[in-house]
Amino acid sequence: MPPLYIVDGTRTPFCKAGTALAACDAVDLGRSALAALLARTGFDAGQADEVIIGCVGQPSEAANIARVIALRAGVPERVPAFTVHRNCASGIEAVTQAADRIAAGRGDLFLVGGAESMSHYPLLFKPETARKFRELGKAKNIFQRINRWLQFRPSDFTPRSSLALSLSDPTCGLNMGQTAELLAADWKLSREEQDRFAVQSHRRAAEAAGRLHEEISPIYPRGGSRPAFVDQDNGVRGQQTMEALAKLKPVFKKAGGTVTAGNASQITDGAAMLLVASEAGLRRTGLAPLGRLVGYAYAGCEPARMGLGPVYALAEAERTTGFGLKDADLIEINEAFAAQVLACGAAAASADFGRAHLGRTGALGEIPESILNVNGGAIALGHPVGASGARLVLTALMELRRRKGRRAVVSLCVGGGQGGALWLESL
Amino acid sequence: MSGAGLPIERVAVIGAGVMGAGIAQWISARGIPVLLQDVNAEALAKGLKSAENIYRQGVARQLFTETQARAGLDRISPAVGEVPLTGVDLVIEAAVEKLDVKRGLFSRLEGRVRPDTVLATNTSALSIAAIADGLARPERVVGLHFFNPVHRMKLVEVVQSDLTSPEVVASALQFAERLEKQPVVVRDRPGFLVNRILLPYMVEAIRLFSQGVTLEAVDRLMLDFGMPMGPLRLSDEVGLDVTQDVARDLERRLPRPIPVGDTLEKMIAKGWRGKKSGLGFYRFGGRKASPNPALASLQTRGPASRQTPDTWRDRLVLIMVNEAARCVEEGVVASAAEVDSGMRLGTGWPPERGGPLRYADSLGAAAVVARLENLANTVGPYFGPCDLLIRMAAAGTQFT
Repeated sequence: MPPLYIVDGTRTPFCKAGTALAACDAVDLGRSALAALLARTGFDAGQADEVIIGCVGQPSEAANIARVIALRAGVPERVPAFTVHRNCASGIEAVTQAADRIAAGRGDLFLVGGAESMSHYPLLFKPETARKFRELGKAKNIFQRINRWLQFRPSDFTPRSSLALSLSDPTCGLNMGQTAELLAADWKLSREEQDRFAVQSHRRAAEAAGRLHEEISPIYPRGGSRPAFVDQDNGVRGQQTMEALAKLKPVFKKAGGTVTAGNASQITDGAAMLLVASEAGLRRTGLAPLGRLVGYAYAGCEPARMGLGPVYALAEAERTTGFGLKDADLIEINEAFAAQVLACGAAAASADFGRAHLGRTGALGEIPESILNVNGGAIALGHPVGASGARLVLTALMELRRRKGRRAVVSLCVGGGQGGALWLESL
Repeated sequence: MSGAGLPIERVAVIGAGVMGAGIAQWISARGIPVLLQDVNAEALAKGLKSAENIYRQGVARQLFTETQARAGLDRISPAVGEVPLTGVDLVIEAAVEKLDVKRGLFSRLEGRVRPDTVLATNTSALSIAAIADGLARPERVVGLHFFNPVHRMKLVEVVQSDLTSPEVVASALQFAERLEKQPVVVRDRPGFLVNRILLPYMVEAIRLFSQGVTLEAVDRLMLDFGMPMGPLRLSDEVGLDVTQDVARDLERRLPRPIPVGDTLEKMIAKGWRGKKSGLGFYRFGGRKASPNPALASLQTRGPASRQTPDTWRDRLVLIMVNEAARCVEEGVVASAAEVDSGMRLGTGWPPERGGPLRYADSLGAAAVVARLENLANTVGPYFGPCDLLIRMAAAGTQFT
């Protein structure tokens, strides 16, 4: 494939849902990040061929949120925009959509990224309640109206959380945390191992605060009476201890469970945006790239074990690009759950798994912790689902540049049983 | 104005203080995208909030719908630090009023913009030529002096230095018109037009007060004349420190300066800086401003206490007339009509009186000269009528 160049990128701070960015919806987050990207690059958005943005929980008031974000960030009306959804990989889906368009000769410059406000996931009425409301709306007189009001039961007013629904897999009936428990059991990953991984994520993110800050553009929430800005991630706990984590109760499996709120990714608000270009796009604009995408793959797997998606995607990417784990100077695997990242490491190193599930003669390879998520991951920084993929691409490329490394691979597991893997090179 | 201006599609405002934010808000409300740059997020947050508040008031007064206000605010793109400006057609600098700061800023700015970008400064006091001095392209620099509050004041002084190219002046003028402001082209003389005429009046009001005329009498006199606000109250609103700085600057740079007394200095030394500090000539904080009760020590029974209110009014009004005539004499603006419209729009001169020069016409140049000469003899030589007025008195001609 012809390479897609990543010119520059930026993101909002990542903040725990219901905290510093609670006043901002996904459009505000995306608009802020995209406007900041345009400001810091000086790129004339009128030159963009398309805007592509990933978002998992699209607000009802912003159907095709990419278009709303683009227009509100000052992208000219003539530039089209569309939204992509591949669950947690939506942010990389936006990148690979641009890569495919470049490969097909359909454009040279794209604004891509992801935006998610997990604070703003709505509460829903049940379909049966909604039906009763519709009937009520059709009532022709006061008697019908009273009669139809009397159909309602208290349980009708118990809302369903769209967030909880979106974190459940309708095909296997498990929520995401339960799939992580399954992996913990399969690969005999103890609570201690998971908690240790979580502490490491926090510690690495805290140490990387200055480096991560380079990715961030401040956001200025509106509506309050006093001037406000947010320019810091707020999920990182540099002082996190094993003892404190040990006190948390398992959330998804009462008896013998090991997955807790402390060793899972945080529920977070944030957006990340990238300016990407073909070779011709670079020539036309004179922009200097940060790095490039040299190959990628998505792969499907068992929905109940969706957390192993990266292993399948990495194997598939090796088939199509020739790049294997040994070629990576850095590895980013999105930390949906500590158990899930650890299971990926175990599965990748397992010759049995390689033979049984990846069609290989042996193991996929080692995922050394020394080059895995070196600046922490979603356990510390949070996982604004639609935005994480774009954030990981940016984080990996900036870290490659710092280390003068050559190649990084970015991978995410995807609810519903998929994985995605992107091979990046620094320039 | 000769020559067509360049099309201006994108603007950057440097400095998110009261003026920078006000300018950015106004530009964005006219549908033009504007990059608002400052050194840190805190300054930008303040600037964005003040723009948001102006929009919010606009919605309350039904000037905008909620959607229009949001779209307007969206057009202001905040940027921390020195982002690329090659996509920008016009930069408006609204940083602090310090020459060395502005010169440093413009010399760095020059490297970040295209050669054809118009570089404007919102200075109200500094010389445009001094700011442009030493740049590779000083002809790109022009003054674009908005008045505070930007969303209320229609006047914009487009200040042309001897170095400014006609094309740049035309661009600035065209842009101000596109903003639905009323621009007046002025030469790069101290105080430009409005401050040149207004500051002597404020200084003289303070002198009247220091010579024993009560605060209420001074301000009442000019309210009765038709000014929207008394001159002492105006000094409080502007800020006593700012008033003092601008007055001193004019005193230094004008060939026939109006002497500035030491009253403001004494007040500033007490920490009284006007409205923003809570105390000035007035005390602020309650529902209504009331006279500062500690003013007595600043007053002595000077010559003014033996003069009539008519003389007091002459001292305040004719000092403006004399300075306005000098503006015509020196070609600060192209016509007497521009002086008058500038004073109406920039200071709220009573429209029924036309402006200082039409007011002079209504008295007759001979009467103006006679009264000024009388004041020169009884109050101070700085009241001496300018040559243009003397010539007009002799010839019996009028300004308008």
